[in-house]
Amino acid sequence: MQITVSTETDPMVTAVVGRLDLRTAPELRAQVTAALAAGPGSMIVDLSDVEFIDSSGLGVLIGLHKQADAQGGRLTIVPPMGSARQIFALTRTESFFNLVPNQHPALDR
Amino acid sequence: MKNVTAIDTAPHIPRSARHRLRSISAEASVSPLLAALGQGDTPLGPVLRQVGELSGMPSVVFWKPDGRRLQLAHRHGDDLATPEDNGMRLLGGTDQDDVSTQGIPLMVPASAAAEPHVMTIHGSWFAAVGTGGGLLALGPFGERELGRRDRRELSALAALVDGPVRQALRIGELTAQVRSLKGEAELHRRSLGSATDDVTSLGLLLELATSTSGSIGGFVAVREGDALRIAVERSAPDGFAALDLTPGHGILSVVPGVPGVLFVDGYQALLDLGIGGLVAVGGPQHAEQPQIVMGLFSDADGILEPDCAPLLNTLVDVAAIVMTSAEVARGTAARHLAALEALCRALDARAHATKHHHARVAKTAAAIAVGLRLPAERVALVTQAALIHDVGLIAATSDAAIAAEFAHPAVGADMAALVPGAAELAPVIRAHHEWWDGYGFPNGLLGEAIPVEARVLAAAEFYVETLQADPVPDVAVLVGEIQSRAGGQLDPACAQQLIDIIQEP
Repeated sequence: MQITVSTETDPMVTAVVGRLDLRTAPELRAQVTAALAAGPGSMIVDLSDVEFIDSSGLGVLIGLHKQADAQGGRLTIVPPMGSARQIFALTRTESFFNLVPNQHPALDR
Repeated sequence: MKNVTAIDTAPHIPRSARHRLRSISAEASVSPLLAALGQGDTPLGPVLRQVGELSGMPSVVFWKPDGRRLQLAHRHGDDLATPEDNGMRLLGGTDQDDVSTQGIPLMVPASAAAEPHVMTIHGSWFAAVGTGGGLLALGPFGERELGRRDRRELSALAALVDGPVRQALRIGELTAQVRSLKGEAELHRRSLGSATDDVTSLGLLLELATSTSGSIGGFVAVREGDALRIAVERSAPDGFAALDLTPGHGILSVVPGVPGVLFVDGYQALLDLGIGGLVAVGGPQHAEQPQIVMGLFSDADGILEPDCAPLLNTLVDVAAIVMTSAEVARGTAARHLAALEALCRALDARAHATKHHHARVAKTAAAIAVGLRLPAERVALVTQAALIHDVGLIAATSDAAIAAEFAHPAVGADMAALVPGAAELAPVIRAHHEWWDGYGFPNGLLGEAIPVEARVLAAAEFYVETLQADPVPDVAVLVGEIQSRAGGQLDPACAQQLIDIIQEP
């Protein structure tokens, strides 16, 4: 998995490539948590290049969502495009998260 | 187009190429289908291999659309230096070269800039094949220049390869459908076979989930009060069964505001067990709290397939139905058993000496079973069998008492066999007059051929009937009597347990 965190923008942007599972979820949590703690508090997590999300990946996203909320910010997610997107529908978390089709409308908010 | 060539369908098709492609078409139609049904391979591979041989191109790649992007479907060739699997996109980018001339507008990834002379046969014709459209690309994906002749031949090939690729894709779709139907049929067959045994059914569902998803293992947890208890697991690492899956206890948590949904938040405990990925789905859908959680995991090096979440989503609802069916069956069985127990109490009440006979045998049998360290479910089986063991005596009449005595184990077993979900009772009742040395009835079973529960029951009944004849026996005489029957009428181990119970202070 590759994680690129851009803290120059507001909201900040984290792009993830690869698989988001038990082996990689802790790294995403560490990087985004650190960025949220240091930055303006809002973050776009771009998962459009993520192939697979397991239950721990979902857990990280929920934790980050709550962290952003607690800081008065907002976590916005660009979901995966393929079958990995199904995890949001299957767990009925589509309305829990702020999902947008791509980074650009999120940046416009 | 600085580094990609698009080839359109050409009107002229060399006769030799046409002939060779017909043979590809035939192979794609029949033999790969048969092979695919048996082996689970897509027939696209053989087709692309022959396309590569026909074109003289060493590398052949086929992508299929998945949403807005192309996913690698098959690759063939040793010197393949292609863009990454997910690097190709349909429309939507801005830094890529549009190579389309007809049909699907195709984009080539930016990374292809480092790969001069990617030769692409793009086909609007593939787009017509349901969701099985795609992009066929032929290399070399390297430094080699393509001359006019190469281009002309590839142009002809683009038209020729249409049919075989369509057929291969269609066969692949049909094969997937057949696999899916086979999986559903197997699921129904197995579910029907064990509709009243929830643990067995959950195990079969889990086996189906792990085998069809390619996962190394998984689990099913069921709700007990506020806790989730692991009911079944397959290939779980040591220590997994000891994990507390109750939401909020360190592994799983609930999503705030989304009832019934669980996620993993205790990574370290799972990583410590060598688990690399875990998908857990709760069910049934729309339940306030998950009643059942099914999970699949991979080991530290493995990966879970993306379709395991929807698979679990389906199976967890089936599991919920199984649990409900089993609960209904248990309720029905309990009412049947209560009726048989009432008949036995009525039999016992006919004579003063036999009053409470079944209850007393059940109490003694349970004590012997516990003494033998039988598992709790076997102790429960012994106790239940003891409560109805003589129900067959209901067939006795005053003028055929001896015949009834010999027949009652079989009659009682036949009555017990009618109780839904209690199939294990009948053999115990049938064998409770068998002797350890083979001289019992009705079948003359010998030693361990007699179910252990029946051997326990025989010892308990001998003791209770002895007390019915002599309510205050001399303990030494009673023990001597039991010892004399150990190894003959009674299983020696059961006899010894009975003696231990009698001699307890």
